[in-house]
Amino acid sequence: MRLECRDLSFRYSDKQPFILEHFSMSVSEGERVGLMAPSGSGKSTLAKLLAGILRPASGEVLLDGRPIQSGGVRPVQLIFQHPELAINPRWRMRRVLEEAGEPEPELLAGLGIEGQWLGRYPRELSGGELQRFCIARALLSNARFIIADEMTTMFDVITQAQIWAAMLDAAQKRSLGLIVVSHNRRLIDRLCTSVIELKK
Amino acid sequence: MGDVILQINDLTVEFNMYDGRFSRAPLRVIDALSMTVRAGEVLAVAGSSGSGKSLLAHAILGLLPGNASAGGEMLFKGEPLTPERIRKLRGSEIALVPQSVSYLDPLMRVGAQVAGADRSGGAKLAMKSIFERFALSEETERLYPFQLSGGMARRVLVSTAAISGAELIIADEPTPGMTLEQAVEALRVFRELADEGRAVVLITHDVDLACAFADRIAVFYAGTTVETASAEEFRAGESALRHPYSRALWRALPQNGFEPIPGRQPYAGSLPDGCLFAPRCPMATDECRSGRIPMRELRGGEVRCIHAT
Amino acid sequence: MAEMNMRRRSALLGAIILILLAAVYAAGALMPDAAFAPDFSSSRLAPSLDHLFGTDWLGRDLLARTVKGLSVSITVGVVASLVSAVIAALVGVASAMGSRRVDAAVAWLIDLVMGVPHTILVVLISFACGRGMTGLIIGISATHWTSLARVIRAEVMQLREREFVAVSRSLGKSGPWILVNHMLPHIVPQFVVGLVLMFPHAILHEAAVSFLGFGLPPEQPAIGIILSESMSYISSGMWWPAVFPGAALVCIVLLFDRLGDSLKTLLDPYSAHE
Repeated sequence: MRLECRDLSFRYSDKQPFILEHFSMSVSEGERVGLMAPSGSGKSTLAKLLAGILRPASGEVLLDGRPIQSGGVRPVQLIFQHPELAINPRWRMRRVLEEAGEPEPELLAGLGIEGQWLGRYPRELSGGELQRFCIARALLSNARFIIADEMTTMFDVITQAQIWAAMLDAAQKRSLGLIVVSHNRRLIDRLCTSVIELKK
Repeated sequence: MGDVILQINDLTVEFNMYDGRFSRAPLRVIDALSMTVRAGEVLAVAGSSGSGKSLLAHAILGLLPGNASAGGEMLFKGEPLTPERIRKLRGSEIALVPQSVSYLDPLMRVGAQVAGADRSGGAKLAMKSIFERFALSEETERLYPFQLSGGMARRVLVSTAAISGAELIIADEPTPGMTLEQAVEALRVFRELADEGRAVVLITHDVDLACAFADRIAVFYAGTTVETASAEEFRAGESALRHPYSRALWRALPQNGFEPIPGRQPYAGSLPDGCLFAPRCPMATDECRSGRIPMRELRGGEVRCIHAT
Repeated sequence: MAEMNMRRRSALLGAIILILLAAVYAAGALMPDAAFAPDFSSSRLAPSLDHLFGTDWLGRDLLARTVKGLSVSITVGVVASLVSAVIAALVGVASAMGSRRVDAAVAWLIDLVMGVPHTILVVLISFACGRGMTGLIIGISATHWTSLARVIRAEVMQLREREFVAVSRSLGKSGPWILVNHMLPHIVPQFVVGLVLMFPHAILHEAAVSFLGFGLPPEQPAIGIILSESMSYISSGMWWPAVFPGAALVCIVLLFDRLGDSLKTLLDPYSAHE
C-alpha cells in the first residue's frame, strides 16, 4: 500500500496566505518517513491534511492512487501531540478504546497498558499513559498508516523511548507506514528510513 | 566559584487534599529536596512531567496555591526567604520565567510589560536588542498577550526575565513551543546571564538542552533530587553518572541507546518505602526497600543511592 | 465545619434552597380552597397572630393566598423554563451543526425575539391564547430561550473543533452519533445552569403579566393578581396586601437565583480545586 499526496496547498480562507503550497510526498507500507520542520512551517497542518481532518485548497491525498473515501473508518490515523485533548475527558478509558473497536488484550499488553487503567477517567492517568491509549485506538481501527505529530515531545526521554518501542513493534507486526513529524533531529535519525525537510 | 545565591535545605511541599467525603490527608509532593545555586552558574533541574518540578519553582517564589504548604529551609544570599521577603524580591531580585502566557497582564501591550521590568533608563533599548535576538518583530511590542502564538509568548517571557536585572532567574520549562533554533537562542541568553554573574535555575524535561547549556544538572525523580552531576559527566556518558535513574535517562536518549527501562514514576501518595527508584532498579537489594536514603557526596557530585560508586 | 470548601458549601446551600422551594410548592398545591375562602366577618384585618399576613377586603387570609399564589408561580416558572430550555437546546444545536443558512436564520430569529421587550411579547401571546395558565406558559416559553440558545450554539461550535471529535470522525462515526455521545454530555452543565437561572425570570414575567391583567384570570390566587388588587386599597392605608405577597415573591426569585449560582459552582470543574 502507498499513501501519497500530490501538489497539496492549504489556507484557512481565501483572504489568508497559504500555510502549505504545492507539497508532494509519499510513504509505502513498512516505511517510516520523518518530517523535519521548524514550527510555523505548517507541519501540523500537513499532518491533518494527510489524515483527512482538513480538506486541501488544491491537490489530493491518494491511497494506492485512489482518493480516500470520506466517511467510514479512515485508513490513515493521526496521533496528536497532546493526548489529553484527543480523548473525551468524560469517557472512561475502556469506552475510548471501544470507539475504535473491541480492545484486544495482546495489543494492550504490547503497548504496556494495564488492565485496571481501562476503568479510569483520563484525568487519572499521566500523559504518557494516555498517549499509549491513543496509539491503541489507532491500531484498533486497523489503520494502514499512522502519522505521529510530535507524539512524544511533551514526555521525558524514558517515556519517549517506551512509547516508540511499542509503536515500532506494532508498526513492524502490521507493516504499517509511519510518518514521524518532529523537530527533534536525533529522534528522527533514530526512527526513520527516510527524512523530508520542510522549508518555511 | 561564585557566591551561593540560593540554598535549599530539606524542602517539603504538601497539599491538603480531600479524599472521600470528610477526611483530609496531606499529600507530600516534594520531599527532602536540597540544592545550592551559585552566582555565575546554570543549574538544570531535569525530570519528567508530573514529578513535581514546577512546584519547586512555585515554592521558591512563594506562589504555591492556598492548599499547599512548604517546609524546610530556603536561603537567598544567606537570609531566610520569608513570605514578606519573597514578595519584596520577586520581580526585582528573583525573576520567574513562567510556563504560560497567563502570567502576562492581558490588558497591557507586550512592549510596556517587558520594558517595565527593566529598572535602568535604557529599558527600550535593551528590549529592542533582546527582541531582535529572539526574532521578535517590532510589531510584537504593540501586541496584546492574546495575540501571541505559543512560541512567541515564551520568547517574550524569557525577554522579560532577561532584562529584569534579577540575580536569580528561575525558568520553568521555557522552551516547549519554540523551534529548536529559538530554544537554543533562549538557552544561550540564560547562559550569558549566568556568565554575567547571575544564577539561573532551569527547570526542564529536555535532557539534551540541559546538557548543552547547564553547568550542573540535578536529576529530579518522584518529588526529590536523586543526583547532582556536572553537564560534562552527562555528556561523557553512563559510566560518569552516579544514580541508576540518571543512567537510564542517558540510555533512553535517541542518540544513545534509545532503550527504555520498564515501569513508570510512582505518584505522590503511593510512593514505595525506601528508595523511590527501587521498584525499577536493576541494582536494588533488600537494603534499598526500607528506611530513608540520604543524599551523599560522591566523586564531586551528589547521589541518593546506597550502591552507587 | 469552618474548613468546608466552596463545593460542599454550594451543595449544602443548594439542597436547603431546593427543600424550601419544594415545601412552598407542596404547601400551596395541597392547600384546600377553604383556607382562603372569603369570610366577611374578618375583612381588612391588619397582620396579627391569627392572620400573619392579614386579610384582604373579602376577608381572605393573605398568607394562604400568597402560598397558593407562589406555588402557581413556581409551576408556571418551572414548566415554562423547561420548555424554553428544550427549545434553546434544539435551536442552539441546529444552529451550530446545520448549514450556514440555518445558522443565519436562527441568528435572525434570536435578534427578532430579543428585539421586542419580553413583557409585551408575553402579553400578546398570552392574550392570543386566551388568558390562562396555558397561554402564559406558551408566552413565557417562546420568549426566554434566546440567550441560552446562544450559549449552547457557542459551546457546540467549540466542541466541533476539539481533537477528540476529529478523531471520532476519522474512526468513521457519524455526525449524529458524535453529537449524542461526545457533545451533548459536555453541554449538560450549561443547560442545567441556564435552565435554573431562567426560573426567576419566568416567575417575574408571570407575575408582571398577571399584574397587568393579561395573564392568569382574577379568580386564580396568583401573586400578580393579589398585587394588582392591592393597588386599589393601598391609598386607604391597607399596606399589607401589597407588602407581604410582594416580599414573598422577591424571596422566591432570589432563592431560585441563588440555586442557579450554587449549581454553577458545583458544575464548574475548576471549583473542585478551591
